[in-house]
Amino acid sequence: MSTFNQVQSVIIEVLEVEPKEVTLDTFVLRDLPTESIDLMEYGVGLTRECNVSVHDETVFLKSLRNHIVEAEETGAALNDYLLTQYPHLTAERVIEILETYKEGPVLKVCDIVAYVDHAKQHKG
Amino acid sequence: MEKVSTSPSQQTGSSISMRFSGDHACVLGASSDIGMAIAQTLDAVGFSLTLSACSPKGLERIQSAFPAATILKLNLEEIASSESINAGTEDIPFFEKIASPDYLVDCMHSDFEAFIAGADPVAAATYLQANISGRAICLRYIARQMLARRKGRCLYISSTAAQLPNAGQGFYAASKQAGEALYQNLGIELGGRGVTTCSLRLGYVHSGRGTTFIENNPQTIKRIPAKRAATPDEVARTVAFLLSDDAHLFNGVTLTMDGGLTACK
Repeated sequence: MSTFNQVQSVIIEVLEVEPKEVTLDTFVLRDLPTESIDLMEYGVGLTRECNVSVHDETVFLKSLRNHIVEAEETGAALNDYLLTQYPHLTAERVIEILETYKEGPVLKVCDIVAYVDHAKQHKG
Repeated sequence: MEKVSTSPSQQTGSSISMRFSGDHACVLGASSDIGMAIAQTLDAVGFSLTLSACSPKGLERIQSAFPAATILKLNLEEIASSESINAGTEDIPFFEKIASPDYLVDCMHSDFEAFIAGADPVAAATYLQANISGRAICLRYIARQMLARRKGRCLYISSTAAQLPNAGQGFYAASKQAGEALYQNLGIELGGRGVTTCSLRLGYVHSGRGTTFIENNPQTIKRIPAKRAATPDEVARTVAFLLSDDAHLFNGVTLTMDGGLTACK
C-alpha cells in the first residue's frame, strides 16, 4: 500500500468520509471537517498504519505561524528557516505555503504523505 | 472478548456480575498495598496484567506475586526529566512494554511532606515535575494507544488530601488535584471516542503509611461518619466495578470513597 493510501485510509476512518474526498491536494482543515481532536487521532492512526513515530506539531504544521514570526524576529531567511523546521517539505512546497498561508490553514494531505515518507526513510 | 466476573452477595445469597469488554489491564504503581490488591482482584477476573513499580524492591514484589504479568520499571521522575521525551515522538523507551491496555489504573505517587513556605525549592520543583509532568507523559502515551483502538478505561487513584489536606500536604494535594484534572480532561476529550476516565479519592485505608497513621492517630477514625477506614480489598473491588462496562458513564468525574469524612464538618 502506498503512503498516500495509508494516509487516506487513516483520514477516512476517522472522519467517515468517502475516499474520493481525500486526495493529495485536499486541504486537511479547509476541505475536510477536521477538528483539532481529529488531528490527534490522525497522528495516532499514522503511527499505527505506517509504523513511524509521529511528531504532531511537525506533521500538521501546527506551529507554522510561530515559525514565521520567529524567522522575522531573528532575521533568518524565511524559506530556509521553514525548511529546517519541516525537513520533509520541498522548497517548492514551502514557497507555495508562504504564498497562501494568509488564506487559511495550509496543511494538505500531500504534506502528511511527505512527512510519513520522510519518517520512513529516516527510520532507525 | 467479554469477561463476566460474578461475586456472591453475603447478605442475600444472590450474585451480581460485572461485565468487562476488555482483557488487558495495566496497573501503574502496583507494588503498593493498594496496587497489589487491585492487581490481585484484576488477576482473579482473568485479565492479562502489565504492572509497574519504580524501585527494585517494588519490582521484586510484583514479579514474585504475579509471575505471568508483564513487569516494567516506571519512575515518574526519570520520565519527566528524560531527553527522549523532548523529541516529542512515540519512541519512549520507558513505555516499550506497555502494549495497548484496555484498562489503566494509575496508583503511582510518591510522598512529599513539607510546609509550602518551608520546602526546599529544588525538591518541591522536582516532586511536582515528577508527579504532574511525568504522569501527564504516561497518560498521553497510553491514551494514544487507547485512542488508536477507540477503546479504553482509565482510573486514577487520588486522595481526599486533594480536598482536605493536613498541614504539610500542600505539594501532595496539589499534585493529586493536578492528576485528577488530567484524567478529567482526558475523559472530556476522548469520551466520544471510546476512552473514558474516572478518579477515585480514597480516605483512610489500612495499607502502608495509612495503617501507621491510623495506629498513631486513632482519633481520626472517630471523625469518619462510617467509623472505619477502608481495606485494600474493598478499594480493589470498587476499582474493579469502576472499570466494568456498567460504570463507564462515570466519566471525567472524581468519586470519593472515605466513609463520609469529607462530606461533613
